[in-house]
Amino acid sequence: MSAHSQILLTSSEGTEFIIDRDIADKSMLLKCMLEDIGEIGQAVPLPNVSGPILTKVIEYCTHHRDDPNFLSANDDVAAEIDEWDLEYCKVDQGTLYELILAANYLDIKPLMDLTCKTVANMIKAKSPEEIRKTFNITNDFTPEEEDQVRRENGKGSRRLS
Amino acid sequence: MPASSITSQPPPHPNNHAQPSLPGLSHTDPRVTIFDIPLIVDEIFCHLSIYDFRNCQRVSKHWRDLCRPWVWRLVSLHGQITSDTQRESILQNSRWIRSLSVDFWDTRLVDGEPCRGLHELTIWGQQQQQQPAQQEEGGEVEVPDTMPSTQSATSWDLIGKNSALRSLSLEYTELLLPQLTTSRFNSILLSTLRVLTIDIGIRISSPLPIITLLCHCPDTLQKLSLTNTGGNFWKPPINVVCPASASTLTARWRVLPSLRSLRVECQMVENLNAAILLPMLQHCCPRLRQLALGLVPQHLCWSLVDILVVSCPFLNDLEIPEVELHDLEMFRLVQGYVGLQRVNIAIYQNMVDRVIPTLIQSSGSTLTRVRIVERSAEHGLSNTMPLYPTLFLEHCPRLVSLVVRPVSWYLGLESSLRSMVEGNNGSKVKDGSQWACFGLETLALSCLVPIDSTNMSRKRAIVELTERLCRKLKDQKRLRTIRLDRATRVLQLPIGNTDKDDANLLQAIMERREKMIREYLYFHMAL
Repeated sequence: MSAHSQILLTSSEGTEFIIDRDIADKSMLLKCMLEDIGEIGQAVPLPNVSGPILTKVIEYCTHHRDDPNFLSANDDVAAEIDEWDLEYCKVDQGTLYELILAANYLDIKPLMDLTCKTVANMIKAKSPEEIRKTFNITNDFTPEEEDQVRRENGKGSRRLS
Repeated sequence: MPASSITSQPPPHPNNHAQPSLPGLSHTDPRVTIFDIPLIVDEIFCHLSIYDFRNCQRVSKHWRDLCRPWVWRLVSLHGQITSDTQRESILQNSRWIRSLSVDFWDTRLVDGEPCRGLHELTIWGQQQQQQPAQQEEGGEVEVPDTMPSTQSATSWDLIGKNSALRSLSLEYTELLLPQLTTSRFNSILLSTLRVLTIDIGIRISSPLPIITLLCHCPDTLQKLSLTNTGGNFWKPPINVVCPASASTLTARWRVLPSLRSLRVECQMVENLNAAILLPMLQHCCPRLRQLALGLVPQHLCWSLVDILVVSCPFLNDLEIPEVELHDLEMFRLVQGYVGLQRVNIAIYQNMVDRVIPTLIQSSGSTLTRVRIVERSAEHGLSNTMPLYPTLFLEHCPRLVSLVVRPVSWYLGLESSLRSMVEGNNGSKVKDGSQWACFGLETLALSCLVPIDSTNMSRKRAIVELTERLCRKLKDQKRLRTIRLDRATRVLQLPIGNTDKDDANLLQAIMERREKMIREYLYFHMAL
């Protein structure tokens, strides 16, 4: 198969995208699909991914096109996120969620790791109130329940090695 | 804490730095978030620490439930004192616990829903540590200062109830081991155990409890470790006593068909090797791959080698640097195995001529990590560096790490280097020693005395040899550390990345590496 061949994708709204084969191969879903059925010249429908999100995903895959460690780079969980990736993730929460879902659906592990790490960073070292605010969550604890959770937490710290 | 926001509101964009929402984006249902998809929650939560989970737990009921498995995954009750509410919450959440560490007289987990999902369990059998803690916390807790034997059933019950238990550790077992009787095991099922670690203490008086325990281990057991690192050292050890009839004992040992890895390091117990180690090797572990031993008394060495060669034919990883085998014993050992992969042995200098060539002959093609410690024979130090490191470099294509600690004088470094560069019979091959190992990462010849030379011609010779060694190291793309005497820190060398075709970069890395080695050696020789 030639690296220059191109693949046609259709987003959920029916928008068509033409991308290079090596970029499509970053997605394990597309890679396996293309390997199984071959390139038939027809558009591959992606009903779970909207056009704008697909654009973002393609942007990511294009940037990491020649990354030799694309699949192994994120094995190191504690690794810092690089600058481009950091900038890439500066999107509103809705988009970030959609990106996670798309990465999950298309099976692009590094993008999944990146976006999930970004969400984890929004949680890290935050107070419960800050977390509620960030993710727009209602505190549905009764005062007694909250007290109980806090008690379990506070004293229990020594319990956990 | 009052709740201020409303549930059904779509997610706002509180992040001021964020770009505006992309056009044409349709949220299917604003209330379904990524936190409703378990797979994604796992992906996110694996980046968080226990401290983060403490906060997350307090966010909302949904989040509390999400965090539970993560918060309760690892629990240690060993030496810990809990209040009633904590005890209650432990009992409530016990099904999330995967790894538990508990004292064997602990009754806190008796009532309520038992832990049934444990993968790892550590049971502690020492109670000395309890006293100070009890004084500190006053009357808050129910910790008995003597151990009623009935209570110890609790921790054994825990083992019985966890059908997926993979790893069991018994620590400070001086009080625990005597309880290991056959009747006890009737209530215990160890059907999935893979790893068993026993700290036997030093006051062990009979091997029977250990034999009984091994008898009840399942076929799945892969890793067994007997140590006594944490014993009470102020107590005099009681010797292990072999029961009168050796034949009845033999009948009790059980074959563990999956046992791959065995570690026995019980320095303080005198008779242990004869009473436990040797029979165990003989009867229990026909498929043993990995063996690590502590000291073995010299009068047992011959039987040890004998039993190993006959009963454990699949060994490929030997870690016995403290076992001092004699010439013939070591020879028999290395001759007895074909395909050893890792060896860590101690040899005497007079054994070099026979043992090393035999080792290389029988296992040269498979050896990956070699560590050899030379012990000084009674007639004192020799002043020749050994030449056998070259043999390994020339004949072991898979060699990753070579560490040799010779007992020798620095004057011999020159001949050792020469042998590495030119080969042991240098005249035969024109371009010197042909190294076979291209995956080498560590090379260490750590002799006792730092490299030094006051003789100018010798110094020049060493410099010249170093230059040639550097040229040789060019082929060693993965070599990371090199150490030529014991006093030096390890030289950390850059690795050439073989995946990239960038020849210039590779060249630069190699040159830097050579420069480092040269500078290093010059510096040390100038001292």
